[in-house]
Amino acid sequence: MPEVLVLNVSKRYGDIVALDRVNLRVHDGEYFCIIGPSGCGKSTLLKVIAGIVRQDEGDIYIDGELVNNVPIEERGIGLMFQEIYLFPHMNVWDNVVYSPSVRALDIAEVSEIGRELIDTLNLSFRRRNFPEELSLGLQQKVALARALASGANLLLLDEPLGSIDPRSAIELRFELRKLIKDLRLTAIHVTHNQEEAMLIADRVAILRKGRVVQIGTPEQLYFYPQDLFVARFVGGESNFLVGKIIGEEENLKLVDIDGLVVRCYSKYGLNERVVLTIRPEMVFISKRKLGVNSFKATIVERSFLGKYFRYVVKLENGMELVARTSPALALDRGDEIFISLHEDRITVFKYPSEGLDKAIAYE
Amino acid sequence: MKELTVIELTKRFGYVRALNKVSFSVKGGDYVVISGPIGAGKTTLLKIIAGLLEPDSGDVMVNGESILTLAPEERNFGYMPSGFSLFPHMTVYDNVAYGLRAKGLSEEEVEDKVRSALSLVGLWHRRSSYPQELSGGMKQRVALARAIAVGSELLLLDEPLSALDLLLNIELRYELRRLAKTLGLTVLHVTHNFEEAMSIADRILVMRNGVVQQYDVPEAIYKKPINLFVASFSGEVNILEGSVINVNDSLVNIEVNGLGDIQVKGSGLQPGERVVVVYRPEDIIVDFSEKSNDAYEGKVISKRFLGMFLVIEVELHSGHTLRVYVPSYLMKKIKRCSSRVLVKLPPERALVYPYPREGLMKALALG
Repeated sequence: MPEVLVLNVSKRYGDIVALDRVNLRVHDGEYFCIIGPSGCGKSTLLKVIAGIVRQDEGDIYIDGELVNNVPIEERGIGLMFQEIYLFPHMNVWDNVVYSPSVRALDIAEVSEIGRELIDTLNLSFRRRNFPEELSLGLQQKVALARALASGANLLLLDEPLGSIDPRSAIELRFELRKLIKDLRLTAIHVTHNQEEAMLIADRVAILRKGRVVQIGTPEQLYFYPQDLFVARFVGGESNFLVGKIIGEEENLKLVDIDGLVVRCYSKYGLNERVVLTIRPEMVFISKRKLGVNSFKATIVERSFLGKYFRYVVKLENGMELVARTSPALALDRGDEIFISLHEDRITVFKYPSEGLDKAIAYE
Repeated sequence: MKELTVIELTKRFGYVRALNKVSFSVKGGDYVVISGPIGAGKTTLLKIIAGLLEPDSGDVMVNGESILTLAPEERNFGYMPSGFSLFPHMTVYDNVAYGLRAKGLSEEEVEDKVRSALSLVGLWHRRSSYPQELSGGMKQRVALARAIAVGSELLLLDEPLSALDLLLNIELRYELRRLAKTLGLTVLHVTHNFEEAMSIADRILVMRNGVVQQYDVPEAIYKKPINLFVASFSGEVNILEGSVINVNDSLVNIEVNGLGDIQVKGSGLQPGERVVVVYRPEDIIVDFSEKSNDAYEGKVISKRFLGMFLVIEVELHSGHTLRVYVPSYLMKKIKRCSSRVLVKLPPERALVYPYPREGLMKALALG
């Protein structure tokens, strides 16, 4: 059973540090996602685990065995990429059972493996079709079946849903996770799409500039971001408020933000410059004052997104916040309301020495 | 610009009908998004409006006058093709200035316009940088500045955000809308991503196979999709097949195989008719009371945390699996998988369609 251990792995391309002492452990049977902006090193890391790229330093263990010198075909992995590589002149069935290790088996075994995978992936009614007759989503499922046919129980996926239209990609997220879990495989999946990672992964590693910034379950990353970058990257948009601690009242710190005083929990002391992060869905909108952090505001922008409304509200000090509310609460531009910020839901960071823009820069 | 009107545009490429009698109109200052799957005809439509393609028939009018005989440069629209590219050997400044210089403006006028366009996208301070020194989001903003610098009132954007990572895509949507509104521009923006369309548009034109399916404000399309395709293209759906038992005013009783009778709001349906009932995952209600008459018992087979929502899959006794979005503050109530829950299907939230003649798969297909 595969457990993957990445120990102090570094990789440079000339002057560029693609991976900088990366450490992580993927448990057996885990669905693990690696996310980060373009160029953060996530694909390089996957290629190192696969054995496509050799690391400069550090070790890779698969299933307790050091595999630094084990070639790709002996690492027992299935691979899948954003680009879909199918043989255009072969039908679905022949593509799935193509792999040499499968063809070495006797006919009965080959058909058994092929049939099982094709059934599991709901491809039976397409088994005689050629790739060009299938949608990209279906083609990617065929590629997945082929990756699994070799009997690999560790699957490495590089942006597997990246070339598929957004609606089909959402459906495939559910299917992919279910399949991996039903077949009791271990999967490492690289994506830039944090929504995809949240839905699909047991745990997620966030990479930035070749370094692991944080590893955790989707809940952990969402509720306890380790730094400002993670706060911005996970969960979509966020609000960042720069202020200074000016006092304390019953365990709550008072933070002055351009004349607006917000109460929140924080370990930082008086006069410390801080950044408050508040997720849009934690900015509550009400008709009356509610709670300790309730402020008068005006709706300045409104978008309907199906599952929620997104509002931009302007406070009396001129500051703007993004809020998300249930679609039941329909407001219009110009409406005057109160927003309240729950003190439990504000995450406080020390103001970064490199400045806020750099600390959260998407790079 | 007061109004852009597209009348019965038709365009064939060989045997393929890329556009079939496409008609719609856009008020000056509106942000209209053209959305649909790949092959819907979105880009063809934009190119005809830009003057880069000629239609087989139909007309494009601005304020009541046909512009079809005008050359692209005479139309003076800002156009940003998909997969835009900046000139790599030119600075940000020169990239934006390119179109202005081509129009023969004086260097003074050019600088004036480049400065205001780059300031609007917040990149005037990067005017001396080369494209490869910029992030993906910045490059996109330079391309946008280049499209608006020529000072046209109508901006045609083909998948302007598609090449970006999700986070930048989300953040730039709102910047783009704000910019268009600040400048009072009329925008036609093509995307295959319906969520992007909803966040940015005043109105959305949904297309499929060269035919307009629906043209309305985002809320109307999402809540009252005109057919099964639009329902499924515009958001996630749970699909139940059944047949009409009887109709009482606006309440329709439908028998769903295995599930028994459900009541929905609908009109124009006949007893005996085969129908498809669609529920959005956030419209299904999880009921935490012990017993309820109008609820279905099921078991949670998967539960995922998405931040604002939890998405759970509930397997009913009938064998149907429903996907349900639950506000995540209810997280503690759904302890783990295989816990039993009751779900309610509110009659007023159901979308009901006649069973499609071409079959369900074809009706929903993105092709």
